[in-house]
Amino acid sequence: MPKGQYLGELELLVLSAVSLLGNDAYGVTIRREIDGRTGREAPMGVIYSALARLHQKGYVTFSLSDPLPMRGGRARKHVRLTAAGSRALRTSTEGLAKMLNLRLRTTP
Amino acid sequence: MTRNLSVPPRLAEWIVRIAAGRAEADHVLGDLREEFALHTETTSARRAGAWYWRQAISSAVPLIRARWISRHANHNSRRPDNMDSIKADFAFAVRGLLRRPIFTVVAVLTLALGIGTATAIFTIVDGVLLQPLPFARGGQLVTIWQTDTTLRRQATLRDRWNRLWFTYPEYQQWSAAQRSFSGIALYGDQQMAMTGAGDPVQTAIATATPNLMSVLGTHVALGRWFLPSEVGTGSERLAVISSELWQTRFGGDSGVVGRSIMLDDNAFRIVGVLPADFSLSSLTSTTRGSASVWIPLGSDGGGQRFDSSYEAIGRLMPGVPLDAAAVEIDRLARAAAGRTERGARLVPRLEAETASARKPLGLLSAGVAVLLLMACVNVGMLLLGEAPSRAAEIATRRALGASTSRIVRQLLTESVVLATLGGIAGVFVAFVGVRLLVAGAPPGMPRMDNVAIDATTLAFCAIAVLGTSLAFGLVPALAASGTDANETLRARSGTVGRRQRRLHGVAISLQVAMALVLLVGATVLTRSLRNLNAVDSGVRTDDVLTLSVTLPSSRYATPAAVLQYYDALGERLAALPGVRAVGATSSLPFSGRNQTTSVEVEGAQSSDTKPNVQRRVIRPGYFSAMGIPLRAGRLIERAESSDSAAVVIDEAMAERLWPGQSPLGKRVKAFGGWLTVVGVVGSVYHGRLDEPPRPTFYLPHWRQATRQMTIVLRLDGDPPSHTVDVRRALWSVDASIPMTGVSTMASRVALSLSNETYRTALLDVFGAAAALLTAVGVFGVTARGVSQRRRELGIRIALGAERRAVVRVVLREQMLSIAIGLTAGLLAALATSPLLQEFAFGTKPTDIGTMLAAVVGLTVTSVVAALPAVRAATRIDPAAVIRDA
Repeated sequence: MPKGQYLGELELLVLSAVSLLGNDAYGVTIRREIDGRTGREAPMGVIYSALARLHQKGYVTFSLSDPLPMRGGRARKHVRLTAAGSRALRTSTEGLAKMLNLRLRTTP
Repeated sequence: MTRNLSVPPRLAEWIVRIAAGRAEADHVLGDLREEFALHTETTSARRAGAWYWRQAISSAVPLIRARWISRHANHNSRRPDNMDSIKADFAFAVRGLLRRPIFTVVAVLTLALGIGTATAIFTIVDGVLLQPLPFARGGQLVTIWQTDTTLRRQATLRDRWNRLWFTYPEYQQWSAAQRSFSGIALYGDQQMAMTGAGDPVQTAIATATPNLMSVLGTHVALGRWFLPSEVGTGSERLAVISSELWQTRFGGDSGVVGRSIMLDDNAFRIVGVLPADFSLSSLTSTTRGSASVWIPLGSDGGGQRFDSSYEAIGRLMPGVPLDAAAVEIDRLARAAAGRTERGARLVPRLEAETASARKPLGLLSAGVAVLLLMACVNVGMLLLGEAPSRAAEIATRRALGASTSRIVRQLLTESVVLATLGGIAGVFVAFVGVRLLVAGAPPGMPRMDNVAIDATTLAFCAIAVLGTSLAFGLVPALAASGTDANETLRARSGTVGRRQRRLHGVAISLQVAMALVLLVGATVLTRSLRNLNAVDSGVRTDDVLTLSVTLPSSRYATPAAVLQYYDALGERLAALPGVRAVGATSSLPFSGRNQTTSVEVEGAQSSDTKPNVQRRVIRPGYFSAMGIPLRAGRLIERAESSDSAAVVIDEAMAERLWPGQSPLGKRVKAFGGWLTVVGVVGSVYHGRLDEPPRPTFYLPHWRQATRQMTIVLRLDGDPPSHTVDVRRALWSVDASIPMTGVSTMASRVALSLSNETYRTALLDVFGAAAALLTAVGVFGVTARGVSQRRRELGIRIALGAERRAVVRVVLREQMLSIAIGLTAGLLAALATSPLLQEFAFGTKPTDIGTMLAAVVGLTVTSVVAALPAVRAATRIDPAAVIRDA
C-alpha cells in the first residue's frame, strides 16, 4: 500500500461497517452498526468526515436514493464499497491480524 | 403508542446545515432525522431532543472537515492542509528574502520609514485629539462661550467675538434657570506671587465655583474641596493645591491639610490636594497647563474682581443633545445680558481644548499618509522589479500544477513578511519620532503630555502593516502570477514583458505625483515661514531683555506706592553696567497679554463710533528701549504732571480714527476723561506676525498706576548674561517680588512662530523623504531596465549606435513616466491647495514659482537618480554581451 493510503482506526471501522451492510449502508445504519458492535457512539459528523476521506481515497462510492417521508422528504446517501476499498480493507485487516499474532506469540 | 410527529430542534438543525454545507446538508439532516424518529419512539421527546443537540454539536467540526476533504477529492494526492501550506509559505518567503539581502534591507527600511512616521503622527493625533478627557464620561463636558456679534466689526476683538467669558453675575442669572446641564461651573485663571520658603515665585492660580468637582465628576485626593458657603468676598481664604505643588513644595506630606501658603501676602489655608491626573487648563490663557493652586471664587483678596470674567464648563444631562442645550443657553444668556447681540455657544470640551491643533495635525496626517503610500509604491516597485527574475520559478511551479490563487498567496505571504519586518523597524522609528515630536512641540500645542505610544498606537501600526502589505504586494503578485508559463520557459533570457514595463511606468508616475504634492506643501510652508520671519515686528529684538513684575495689592494699595516702587526699580536698573535704556509696559508685544478699551472720538458723526483699540500703560524710556520710532509730535516726558491728559498713539490708530489728517491735538475719551494726542509712534505687531498691527494708544504710568508691568531693558552684549544683576537690583527694592518672564524679545518673537516653525520643519522632512523615495524608485527602475536590456543595448552599440542614442533609449520611457507624474502631481497639488491656504502667509499654494520650484527640484532629483544606470548603459561592452549570448 502506497504511503498516505493507510486507513485510520475510524476509517477502518466505517469501511468494515460498509462492507458488512452491503446494499443497506448509509449514515444511520453505519453509525448503528459501529455502535452496536463496538459500543462506540460516533457522532454523525464524524462518520461523514471518515466517509469523505474514504471517498477521496477511492474506497467508496456514493449514490442517492429517492426522497423519503420518514427523513423529512430527504434522500439517503447510500455507500458502496469499491474494489480498491475491499482490497484496502483486506490489506489492513490482514496486516493487523499478523501484527496481533506476532504480539500474542511474544508475550506470555 | 401513537407515532410521534415531533420535529428535531430547529436551531440544532440549522447548526448542522451550516456546518455540512449546501451539498451535504441534505443527507446528514436526513440521517439525523431518521434516527431522531427512532429515538422519539423509544424514549421521551425531551431525551430525543437532547440526543439531537449532542449530535449537532459534536458533528459540527467533523462536518466542516468533511467538506474540506471532499472539495479536494478530485486530486489524487493528499494535499497539505491550510496551516501546513501557510507555514511552508512563510518559511519559503523568509528563505527567499534572506537570499536577497540588499533588496530586503531597502524594502524594510522604506517600509519602516513609511510605517514609523505614520505611527508617530498617529500617536500625536491619538493623544491630542482622540484620547478622552481625564474625567469620567468626559464626552458630556461642554465649554460655554459668550458671543457678541457687535465685536465682529471691531479691529481688536473680531477673532474673539464667539469666545467671550462670563461674569459671575451673568452666570448666576442664566445658570439657575437652565435645564440642560446637571451642573455648570465657573473658573478663571490669574497669577499670584507665592512667598514663604525660598525665592518668591509667580504661580498660576485658578479661582472656581464650589460645584467644579461635581461637574467634572472627580474628587480631591486628600482633604476636601470648597463648600458653597465658602464663596464670595469676605469669606475665609482657602486653597486646594495641585498634586505637583504638594510634592515639590510640601514633599508629599499628608499633614499638609491645615497648613497655609502665602499668595500675594495673604495666607490661604490648605484644605485639600487634587489627584495627580487632574488637569483643567484655561482655554484662553497663554500659559497652558493646569493651575497649581485653586481658590474659591471671590476670595482672591482683590487681585481679581469678583464679577470679572470666567470660563464656564458644564456637564450635559444624559440624553440632552448638544444642539438643544445650545438653544436653551443661548436664549438664557441673551436674556441675562439684556442685549440681542449677545448669546452663548456650546463646544464639547475636548474640541474646545484641541481646536488649535486640529488643522495642523490634519495637515501632518495628510502628509504622512502620502509618505506611507509612496513607501508602498516603492516596495511594490521593488517587488515588481524582482518579478522577471522570478518568472522562471513561477512558470515552473505553474507548469507543475500550482493554481493562480496558490501562487498569489505565496507571493502575498512574502509581502506580509516584509511589511511585518518593516513594521517592527517602524515601531522603533515611531518611538524615536514621538520623542522628538513631543520634545520639539510648540508650547501652545494642547495635551502634549497625553501623548505616548500605547496599545492603540501599536494596533494602528499593525493595521498599517496589514494594509501596506496588501497595497504593495497585491499588484506585483497578480502581475507575476499572470505571466504565461509557456512563453517564459521558452524565452532564453528574461526580457521584460510589456505589461511589466507599463506597471513600472505607472509606479514611477504615481510616485512622482505624490512627491510633487508633498514638495509643493513643504515649499508653501517654508516660503510662508520665511515671509513671516521677514516681517518687521516694529520693535528691536536682538538686545532687549524683558521681565515681568507684579506687585501684591495688599502692600501696594495706593497708586503712589506702586509708582514709588517702579521709580526706585527703574533707577536701580538704569544704574547697572551695560544698560542702555530702561522702560516698562503693561502689555508687552508677543507676551500673550493684551488690553483693549473702547474710546469715544471727539467730533465723530455717528453715535455708535466707539472703536475698540488696544491700550498700554508705559513708563518713560519704553519707546527708546524697544526701538519704536517717533513719527510725529512728541513723547510724554517725566516732567509732565499727572493730570495733564496727554496720550501717545500709534500710526495704525491715527490711520483708523483720523485717516488723511494729522492726529496731533485731537481728543479721545477713555476711562471717563478726555485725552489729547501729543505724539504718534510706529506701529508694533502684537501677538502674531501674520496679523497686522492693531490701533494702539499709550498712557503714562502715572496716569494709571498698573501693578503688573513688564520691564524692558536694552543692553550691551548678550542679554541673558545680565540676568543675575537684574535680579539683584529687583530684590534690592523688594525681596518678596518674584521675577518672571525673563526672556529676550528675539526669543519671544521666535516663540510666537513656534507652531509655524514646527509644522514647516515636519513637512520639510516629509518632502525630503518623498524626494528620497522617488530617487530610490527611479534609480531602481532605470538600473533594472538597463540590466534587462543589456543584450539589446549591446547589439545597438555594436551596430554603431552613438552614446546619445543609447542614453535616449534608456531615458525615454522613464522621462515619459516622470512627465506624466509631474502633470498628475500638479493637478493634485491644485486640487489640494484649499487645504494649504490656511497655512500660507504672503504666498499662495497655487503660486507659479512654488509649483515651478517643486517641478524643477523633482525633475533634477529624478534625472540624477537615473544617471548611474545611464552611465552603465553607455559602457556596455558589445563584445562581452555577444559572447554571453
